[in-house]
Amino acid sequence: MWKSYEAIAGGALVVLTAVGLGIVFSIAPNPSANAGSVYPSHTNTLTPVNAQTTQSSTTQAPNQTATTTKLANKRPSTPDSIKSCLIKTQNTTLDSAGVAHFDVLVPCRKQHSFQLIYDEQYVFNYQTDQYGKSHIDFDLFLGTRPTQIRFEDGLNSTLTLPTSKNTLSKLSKAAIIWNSPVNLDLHVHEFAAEAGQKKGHIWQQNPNNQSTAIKTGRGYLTQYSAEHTQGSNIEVYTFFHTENSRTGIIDLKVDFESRGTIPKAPFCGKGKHASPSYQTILLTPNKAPQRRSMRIQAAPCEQKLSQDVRYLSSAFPGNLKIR
Amino acid sequence: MKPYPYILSPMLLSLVFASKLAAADTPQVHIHGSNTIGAELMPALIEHYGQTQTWNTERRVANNETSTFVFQNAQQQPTLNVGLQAKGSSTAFKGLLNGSAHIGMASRPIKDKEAAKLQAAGLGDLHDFGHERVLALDGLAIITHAENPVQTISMQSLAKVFSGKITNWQTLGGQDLAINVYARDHQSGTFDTFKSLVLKPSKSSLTPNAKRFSSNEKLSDSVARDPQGVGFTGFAYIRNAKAIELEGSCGMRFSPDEFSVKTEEYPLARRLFLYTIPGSATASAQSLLDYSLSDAAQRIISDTGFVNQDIQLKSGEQGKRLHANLFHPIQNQTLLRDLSSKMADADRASVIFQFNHGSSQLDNKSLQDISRLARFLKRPEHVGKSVKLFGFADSSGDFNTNQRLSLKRAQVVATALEAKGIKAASVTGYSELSPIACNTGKGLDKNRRVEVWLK
Repeated sequence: MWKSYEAIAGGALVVLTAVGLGIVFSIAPNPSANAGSVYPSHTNTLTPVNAQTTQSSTTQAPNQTATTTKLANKRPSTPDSIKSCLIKTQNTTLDSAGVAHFDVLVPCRKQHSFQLIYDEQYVFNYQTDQYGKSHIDFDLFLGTRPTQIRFEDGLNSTLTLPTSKNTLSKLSKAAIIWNSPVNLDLHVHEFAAEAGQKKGHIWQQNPNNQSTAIKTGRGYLTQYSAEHTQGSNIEVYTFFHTENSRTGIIDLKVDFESRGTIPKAPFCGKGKHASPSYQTILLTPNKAPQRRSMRIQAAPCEQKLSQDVRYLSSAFPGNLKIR
Repeated sequence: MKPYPYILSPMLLSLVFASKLAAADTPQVHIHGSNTIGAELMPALIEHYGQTQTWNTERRVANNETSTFVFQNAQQQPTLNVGLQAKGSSTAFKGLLNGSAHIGMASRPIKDKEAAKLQAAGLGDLHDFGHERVLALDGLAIITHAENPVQTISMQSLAKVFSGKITNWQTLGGQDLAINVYARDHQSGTFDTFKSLVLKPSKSSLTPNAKRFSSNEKLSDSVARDPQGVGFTGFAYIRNAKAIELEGSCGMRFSPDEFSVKTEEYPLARRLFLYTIPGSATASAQSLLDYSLSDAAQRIISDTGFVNQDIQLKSGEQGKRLHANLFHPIQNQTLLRDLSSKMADADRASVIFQFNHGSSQLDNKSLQDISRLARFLKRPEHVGKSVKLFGFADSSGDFNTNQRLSLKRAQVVATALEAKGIKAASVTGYSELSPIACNTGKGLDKNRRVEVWLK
C-alpha cells in the first residue's frame, strides 16, 4: 500500500494526505512554451505522482510528496507518554537499487506525523496509520547515514538502516534536491544519447525502470516529490554497474522546468522564484559522495532561452564516468 | 569590471546563505578563457580552493559558459566571489587586455600578436615566467565512432582528412564511406593547437565542410554518434568516442596515454596555461592561482581527466628508448651502448626539459619543473637514489656538435638542480640518439630535451 510522504525543508510544512491507494496528484505549473525544443515537453498539468512506480511496485520507491503543513496531533504529549512509548522497525530490506524498505511501528502514536531525518539534515515527513504503522521506501542516495525518527512531541529513536556499502559498490547515483516550490527536472543522457532518445535520455517523462536498467546495465530515475508548494523534492538517477554496462560518460543536466523556454513571472527577472537553489549529489562506487550547493541564475522575462540555457549541463557539476 | 547579478536567499537545510546582496567590498576574481579548462577543471579547482579556506560555496549558473562561485565563511559572511567565463582561449587575452579578467585560461600559448597588444597597452610581457604558468597537460585525441575499424592514422593523412583532401574512409583502410569532419570553433585554443600541430606543417587549412562546435563535449558526442565521423578533442573529452593511434612520418606510433602526454612525446600533447598581468593580480587572484599550481591541486587535475604534472616513474622504458633507434640511422654505437647501460635497471621520470633550437636555456615549464623535480627527489622514498640526466638533440646539424649541445643542456639542468640541493650522479649528452619523435617539424622540438632517470 502506498503511503503519503511529507518532506520538510527549512521549517516550512505542507501536508498532503494519501487515502486508499495513496494516489497523490502533483499540480504542475502551466506547461512551458517549448516551440523548437528538441527536448520533449511536459504534457499534463495534473500528474499522478506515483504513476511511474507501477512498473515495479516492490523496488521503486514511491514518490515522497513534499508536504509542508503540520497534521494536528490527536493527543497532547507528555514526558510519560514518551517514556513508555517505543519506536520499532521491522521487515527491513535493501534492494539492489540501494532503496531501503521497512515498517515503522509505534502503536502508541496512531495517526501521528513524524519525521525521518537522514544524514542529520534531510527531513521527510511521514504519518502513522490507525494502527501506528508506516511503511517506508527510502532511497539511500548518500549510503548508510545517521538517521533518526522523531515525533513532534520529542519521541525519537535512532534508525538502523541496512548496511549499503556492498550494494552501493555496484551503483552510481546522481540526485538533485531542492526546497523551493518550483519544478526542476534532472535529465540524464547515457552514452551520448540525444534529447528525446527513448533509450538513453532518462528523465521524468522517460524514467526507465529498475528491472530494465539492471538487465541492460544502465539506469533509471525515481522521484521523491512532488508537491509544487514548499518542501523537499528529490530526483534520483541510479545506474547499475553490471557486466552489460558499457564504458563511457553519462551526462547530467538540470532543467528549470517551471521557467520553461520563455520565462514568465514569478520564475524570471526579479520574481520570487526566479533563482532557485538546490543541491546536487553524486555517489559513485567506493567514493565519498560529492555534494554541491547550486543556484540557477535568474533569466530575463519573456526572452526565449536557448537549449543550452534551458538544459544546463553546468547546473550539475561533473558527470558519471563509467569505466 | 562588469557586475554579476547576485541573488542570495536561504538555502537547503544545513547550508544556509545570508539573504542579502554580496557586500560591495567582497573580493572578486574574474577568470576568462578556454572552455577546455573552464568546463570542469577550473570549477573543480575553484571549489577545492574554497574548501582549503574552509568556506561554504554556492555555484550560480547562468548558462554553460558562465558561472559565479560565491564563498562564505562559517559566520555566513561573504568572503570571495569568483566569476568564471569559458568562451574560448582567445577571450582570455581579450579579457586581460580590457581589464575584465584577472586570470586568463588558455589551451594554447599566447600568440605573438596577442602578446604584442598587451605589451603595447603597457601590460607587460606575458611570455615571462611567472605570468605564463603551465596549469596542466593535455593531448589532442583523434576520435572516431567506437565501431570504426580504423585504428591508426598517420600525421600526413590526418592533415589530408581535415583539409578535405582525403574524403573516404576506404583510403585509410576503413569502409567505403564518406568522412564527416568535426572541429572546434575559431575561438578555441583546441582548434589553434590542432592547426599549429597538424594543418600548418602541411600548409593546409580546415575543410569548409567541417562541422564546428563551441564545446569539446558536443563535438565528442557528435562524433560518437556518427559512424563516419572523425574529430579532435582534448584527452579529457574522449568520452563516448574512440581515440585512435597516431603514426609519425618515420613510422613511430603513439597512443594518447598519460605518460606519453606527461613526457610530451605524444605528437599532439599540449600545455594548458594560466596567464596574469604582471603586477596586477589581486591578492585573492594570486592566492587562487597559487593554489591551482600547487602540488595539492594535482590530484584535482587528474580527477577531472587531465594530465597533471606530478612526476611519475616508469620502469621498463629502456627497451622503448632503444627501439626508437631503429627508426633512425645509428651514428655512434659506443655512445648507444653507454646509454643502454646507464638506462639498465633505471626508471624513467615523466618530467622532461625542453629547449629551443640551438639553445640550452630552460623554458617556462622547465623552470617550474626544476622545483617540482627537486621536491620529488627529496621525498624519503627517493633519497639515496642515483639521478641520471641524459641530454639529447634533434638531428639537424652534425652529430658531434649535437653531442656537445646535448651535454650542455644536461649540465644546465644539473646546475639548476644543484641550486635546489640535488646533485646528479651522471650527466651525459647523447646527441640525436633515441629520438622520441620523428625528426621533422614539431618532432625536432621534442627531440631537444633532457630526460631524468633514477636508479
